[in-house]
Amino acid sequence: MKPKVLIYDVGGCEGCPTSILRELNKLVNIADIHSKHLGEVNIDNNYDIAVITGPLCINVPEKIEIVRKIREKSKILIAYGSCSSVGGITLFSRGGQDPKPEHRTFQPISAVVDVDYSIPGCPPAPTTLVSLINGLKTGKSPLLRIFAAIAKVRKLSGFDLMDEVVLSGLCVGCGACVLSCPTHALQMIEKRSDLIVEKCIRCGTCCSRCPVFTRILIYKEKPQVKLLGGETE
Amino acid sequence: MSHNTYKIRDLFRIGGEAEFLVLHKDGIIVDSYFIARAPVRGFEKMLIGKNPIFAIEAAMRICGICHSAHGINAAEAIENALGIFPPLNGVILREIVGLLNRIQSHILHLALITPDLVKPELKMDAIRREVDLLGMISNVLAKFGGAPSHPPNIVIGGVESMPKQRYIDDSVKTLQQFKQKFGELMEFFENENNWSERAKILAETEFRPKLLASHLYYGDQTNIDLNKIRTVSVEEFRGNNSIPKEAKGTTTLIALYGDEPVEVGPRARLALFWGFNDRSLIGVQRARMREITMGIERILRLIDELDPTEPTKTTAVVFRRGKGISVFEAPRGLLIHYAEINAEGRISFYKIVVPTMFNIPIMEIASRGIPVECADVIPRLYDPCIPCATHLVEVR
Repeated sequence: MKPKVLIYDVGGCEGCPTSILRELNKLVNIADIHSKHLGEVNIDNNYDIAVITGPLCINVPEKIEIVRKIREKSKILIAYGSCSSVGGITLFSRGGQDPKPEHRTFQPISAVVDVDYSIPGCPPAPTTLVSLINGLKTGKSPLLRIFAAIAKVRKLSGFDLMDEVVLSGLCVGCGACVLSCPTHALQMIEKRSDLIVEKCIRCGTCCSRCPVFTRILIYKEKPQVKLLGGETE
Repeated sequence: MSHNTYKIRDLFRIGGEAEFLVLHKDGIIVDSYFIARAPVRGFEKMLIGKNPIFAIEAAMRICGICHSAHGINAAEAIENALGIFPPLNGVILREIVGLLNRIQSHILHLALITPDLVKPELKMDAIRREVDLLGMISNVLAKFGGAPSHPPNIVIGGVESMPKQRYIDDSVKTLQQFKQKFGELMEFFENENNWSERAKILAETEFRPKLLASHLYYGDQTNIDLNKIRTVSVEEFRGNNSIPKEAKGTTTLIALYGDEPVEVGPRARLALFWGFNDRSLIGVQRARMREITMGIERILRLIDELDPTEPTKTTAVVFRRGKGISVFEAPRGLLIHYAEINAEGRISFYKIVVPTMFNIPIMEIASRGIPVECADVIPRLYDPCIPCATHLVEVR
């Protein structure tokens, strides 16, 4: 039986949910998809997996309630995309803009609920979601442990990559971060990554692709992997 | 008014979160209010004090649907402020990226509105075909823009680099396949035997608002009077006392041209610059689909004009004090960015006027006289983009 999957945006740019639509023909083969882009959705229903996109504006109590309700009604909660998982560009929001100047602070959804898996990316490659859902059925995907570890942190960016890996002398020069950066904010100089700081939007994609960073994060966070069948590892 | 009842409908299958409140009498809509519910992320305020290089990356993230339009507009507003111009290759590549984004957005919208337009038993097959086309056009955008959304190749001074020749050759093949597959889809949609009852109502309803566009493909501020553009709150537009309490609290403003509502977008572009004359409501959708075909043909011509021996960006970028304006025809219509840079080379002022702000009063007027059961299809027809619309402030 296909898992019942909710895809719900809480106020982002729509890049994440619409990129997921590009993989719709594959997704409908492995899951029963419920999305506002396909028709009416009801967040009072129970779901096997809920995928939340977009940042959470903590100045809007209704949005916090929606995220809490979705958490309560879903067995597995995935924060999909940088805004939802690690804050991303909306961490720079400072409010003051009409017609809602009071909308001042945006945070990842993990600020108010426990998240099982976080997938950074602006937007993530939508095939990642297909792989993760398949992994949640079998427990065999290496992505599970990585995204479960990222769910334990509230921020990730090129600055973290520099601090934890490059400036610590642990960079192996594989170039995965450079290839993954959605703003071309990373370059390779003398076989080490270097950050063009004014281009970093704090999406955290580089960290999630770095083999060294993810190993450190898994070691530090010791994440629990939760599967669709209810078992945990 | 006492005979009317209110009905709030959450709008599904649109870009973002909104409600449509309709007032109807005997089942016919007499008035309506489009209410955005998305939080205001405040990009214009976010950009103050930032490096213009960051401004391009941030502006593209205002919207995940018309990302390239915002990126191109931000780059051109900053270039205008700095007094620099991209080389010809850069301009051509930008137009290609902008048109790919337009087609990508139109195809995505077609997938969202298909259940309204065709018989229920036909919708899933059509949506699957549209999702395939969405994947094809996104792959081409990735080759020219550097990513299928928020394309990082758009930079101040032009476009980062020319795609490798084999990527260009692959793209041409993909675009030709796309054109053929989309042509088959057009025939399917034009066949009235496939139409839903809603599509027939849209075809029978004439709607002739004033139209505004600056260019058929790109954007040209000399074709419009920027001084006539004004943004107002819903309360100012409607009169505070006349708005039902259920319609208050929208997170967006309204844009007017010469103090009047104007329709922007595909039909406005084609009517003003190409001779398109379908004034039925379904004409809005016909124009959008026509733009897809025209966009593909235009891109194929532009690719032939690229010169791989010439640069794609200017390297003479020096940040200094200046003011700039850029006008671009985004997928949904007229998009305007205003940028000011201070003596330290940082953004000191940033404003954006987006097409959905023009089309909000148009949607509300277009809904009048429509059966209330069809209320949700009117805003969907105009393809409102809420992430964009919640980032507008009053223009100086």
